Amino acid sequence: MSTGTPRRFRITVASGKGGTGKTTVAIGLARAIGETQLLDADAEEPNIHLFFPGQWDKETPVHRLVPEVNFDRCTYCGRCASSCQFNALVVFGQKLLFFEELCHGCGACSLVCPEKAITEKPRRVGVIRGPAHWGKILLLEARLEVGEASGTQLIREMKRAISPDLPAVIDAAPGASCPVMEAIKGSDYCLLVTEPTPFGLSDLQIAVEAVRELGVPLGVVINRSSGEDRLIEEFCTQAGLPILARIPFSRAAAEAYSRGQHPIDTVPGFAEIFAGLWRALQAQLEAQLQKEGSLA
Amino acid sequence: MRDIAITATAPSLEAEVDARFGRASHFILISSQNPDDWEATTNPALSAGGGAGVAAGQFLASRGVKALLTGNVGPNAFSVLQAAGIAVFPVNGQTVREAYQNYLKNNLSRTAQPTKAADHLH
Repeated sequence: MSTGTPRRFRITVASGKGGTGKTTVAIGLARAIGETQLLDADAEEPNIHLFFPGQWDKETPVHRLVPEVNFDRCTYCGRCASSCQFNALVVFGQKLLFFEELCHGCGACSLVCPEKAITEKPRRVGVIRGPAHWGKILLLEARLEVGEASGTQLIREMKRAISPDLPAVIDAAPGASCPVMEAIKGSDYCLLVTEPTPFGLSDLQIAVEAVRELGVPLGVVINRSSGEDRLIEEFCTQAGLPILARIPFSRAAAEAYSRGQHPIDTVPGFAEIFAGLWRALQAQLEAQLQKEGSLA
Repeated sequence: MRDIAITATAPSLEAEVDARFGRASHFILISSQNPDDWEATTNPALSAGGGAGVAAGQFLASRGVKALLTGNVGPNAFSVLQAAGIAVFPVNGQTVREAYQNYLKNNLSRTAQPTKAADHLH
């Protein structure tokens, strides 16, 4: 690592379209960096564990608070429902309805209840697995409980466990939903992985628009490149986005992947591709630092 | 009493019935006893980030509505409407006026459950 690059940088690997190769890139990049944290922030379907042969020694449950109404005290005054910004509570006549999946756990209802009829109970949202040692990589995973609607809170919790002493690579879920935005928020750089197809381009455009709202610097990685990726290149030029790497289409890579093997270990040339991505990313990070330094 | 609510794409009896409930653009509130006793209102739940169906259901309950004519009702809205004693009649491809007349002639069937799955918020 060159002396200009900050030690504690945080990179998020995201995409518009699913299946473009985020996990391939996240793992490959982490391997190229060497000593780094790698976080699986696709809480609905974490998949980095499929490549990890070791044991998860540590698992930390995460909870959200959900209101519970004591109907012996409730007078159906409706103050709780009026205070709820998310329409999770409805009160009329002698009826109170609570919609748990709309609840954001803000606690306003229990605060405003004049009869102290509402208490907050913890409900398990999921777990954070790790940190686990994978060679030089420190692995963490957010795993959402089956039936829970959103991984956003879980990802926020996992980010709190990021050590400031090492860099971090975050593998986000596909798309531009709230959990993805949480995985990108606060990062120093976001890599958008795309494929050179019309679907890849269309979803990339959406992702770029969403990430720009967060003010995180962006770069593109083209996966399954045919060498001629005009569709994506034209868009990137027009949008002012750097292309940091092109990973060639490789049947051997796909076959290895399907066996739970990363192509960096099984396909010649891939180690150099990810080393190249890491070099290009360092240059971007250094340029960002220079820009921030000159603005300070 | 304007006891019938009909979702509408515009504030008029000639408008198409809005297929949505929680995110319907307008409600027509009309009396089952007198077709001239009606009003149009914009849907107060439109600006809701989430739980629009719940908010719309609460609005109708507060207005003393007994029957709702609309395209689709999701599970949360349906719970609210059911608790409030509001019967739900799905309608398809009709104007507000046509749906109202079909309701009075008993041509519409009440549904016993939500007609669509929940929307995902986050």
